[in-house]
Amino acid sequence: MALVKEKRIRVGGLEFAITMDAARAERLRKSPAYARLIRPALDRLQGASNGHAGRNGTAWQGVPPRLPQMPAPATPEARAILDRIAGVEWYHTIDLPHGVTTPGFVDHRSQRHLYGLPDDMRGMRVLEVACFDGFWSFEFERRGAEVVAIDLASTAQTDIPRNWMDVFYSGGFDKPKGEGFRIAKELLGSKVRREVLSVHDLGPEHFGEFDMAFCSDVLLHLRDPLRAMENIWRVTKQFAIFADVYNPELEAFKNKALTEFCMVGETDVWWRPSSTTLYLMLHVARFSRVEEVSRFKLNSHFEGEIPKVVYKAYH
Amino acid sequence: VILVREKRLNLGHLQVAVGIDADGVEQIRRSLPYRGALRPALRYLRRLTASANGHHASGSVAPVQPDSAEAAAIRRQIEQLDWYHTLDLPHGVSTPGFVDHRSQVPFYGFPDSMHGLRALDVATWDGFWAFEMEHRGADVVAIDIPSWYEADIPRLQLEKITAEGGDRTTGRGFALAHKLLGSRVQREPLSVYELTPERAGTFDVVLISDLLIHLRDPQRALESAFSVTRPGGLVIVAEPYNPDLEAFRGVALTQFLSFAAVTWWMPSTTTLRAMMQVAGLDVRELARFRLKARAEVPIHKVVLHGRPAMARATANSGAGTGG
Repeated sequence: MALVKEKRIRVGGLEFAITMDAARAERLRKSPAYARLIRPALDRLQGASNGHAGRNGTAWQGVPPRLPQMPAPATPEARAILDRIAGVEWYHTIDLPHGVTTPGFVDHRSQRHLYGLPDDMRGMRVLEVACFDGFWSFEFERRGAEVVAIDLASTAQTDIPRNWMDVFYSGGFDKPKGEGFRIAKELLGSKVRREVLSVHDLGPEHFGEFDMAFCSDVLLHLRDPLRAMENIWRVTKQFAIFADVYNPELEAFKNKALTEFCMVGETDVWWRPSSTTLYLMLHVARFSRVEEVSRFKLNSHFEGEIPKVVYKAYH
Repeated sequence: VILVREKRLNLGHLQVAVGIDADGVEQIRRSLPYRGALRPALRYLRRLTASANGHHASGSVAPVQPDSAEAAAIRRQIEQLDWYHTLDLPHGVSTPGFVDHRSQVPFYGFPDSMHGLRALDVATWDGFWAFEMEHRGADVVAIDIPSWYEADIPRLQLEKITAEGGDRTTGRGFALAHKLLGSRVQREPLSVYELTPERAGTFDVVLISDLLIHLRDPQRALESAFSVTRPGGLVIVAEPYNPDLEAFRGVALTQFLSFAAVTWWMPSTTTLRAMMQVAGLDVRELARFRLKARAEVPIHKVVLHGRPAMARATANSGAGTGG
């Protein structure tokens, strides 16, 4: 598992690359000599040569705060809602009436400002791809948009390697999707329209075109993420927001669109691409202009870090 | 930054690479120490490693000049077509192919005798490998997309090509070579993505060569190959790999090349192995070599043999963590 890091230094017509394993690189990076001497020297040598668009500041914009505790149900109404949401495996943390919050795996609430969304979305027609429990759809609706949310009918429709299918079924991984969404929609009195459709099949013939399309934490689970981008382009009139997981270990390679193939062992992740790969793919998918909005670590219960990058891609 | 040359040296835990741009290369090439000492030394090293790695200097791929009237007639026919494969035809005529596999066949590890075996050549193009397996005695099915409109290319380019129109049927070279060789290979217009036992039957040997890099979903192609391979059968995957990524041994990396030059992905050998394992195959590496082709850049190939695993491929090789 020795991931190696590569540092490239360009001096005149020569480029030097020094490669070492990641652990060694980390120790070196933390040493005082590196911080005081080598780093400043490298910065001076490199100058402002980093040409990758949107690469202004790689500092994390969002530090995950502690996940909130569920408040004790104070009222009979709150207790009724808690009974209603019990038994559902919540993916999204969603604020429901009477001070109740779903115990989600991810909590986007404090990170909403990192996605480059318009504050006022009145008059906008918005598509959410793979909505799960619907956090983002309800958010767009709250900002005034008319929202169509698509998702799969069951986990069996996700992109699973073909010869894992029997294990998938026999292991009880085949579960219907959408119960959390239905309950949250009902409790919120939402009008979001949820439709069963895979992004692999998405086209304007289904639900028309949209002012904005939104696709978050989806691409890593797809065997063919580029086709998803192409399909989203086809239904996008103004712009699409792509907020997905990237592989920070590959960020040192600025001129190469590298991607890690992850579908080894029991996982639902196909790819962990560098941000350069996502950026390049969006262009291949025909988006005319792609802006980086932010980078941050997703606030979730996952034991490791989930680094995300958000792109605003114009039709 | 366009690097013309890159040299890599391993020094203990460090790997140091020196890249030089075009101007730099010229200056160094003209310098006395390079011409007098460095170049002879490098040439000597290259000769040593070439024989060990099975590199072949690319020779001429021009067809032999034949004399007879029969040969002239064949030449007139092959001149009408663009050839991807260099094929030996009767009367000493060879097609002027983009790739010439003829001297590199041993790297692929075919059984010497394939009598009684049913073999599949995936994406056969002009049919070099299909005819080779037939020559070894196999009963061969060759599949290919029926038209270039069905190639796995970005939607933008596909719409352009479609707008231009025209006949983009595949298989003319195959048909001519098939006739001239008196071959009995059965060619089916079928994409690897649609390959199933119901459509094509099952096989003892399945060959995928120089295909996966052109596919947006190579994993699905490997899964298709697995689905038609008989228990105890063999999937031969002979694909270009990305030498720049070979240093990352524990991680399955691939480079997205965006199809700018008809290539979607350039994976490391680790990635190819991982993908074959995920498709359900036990993997063994046979050879690495440079493809003999009229390409502007060297094409590094690896040959991997996959055998259908008894259990599904979850026992991983330590590549990737997921999550």
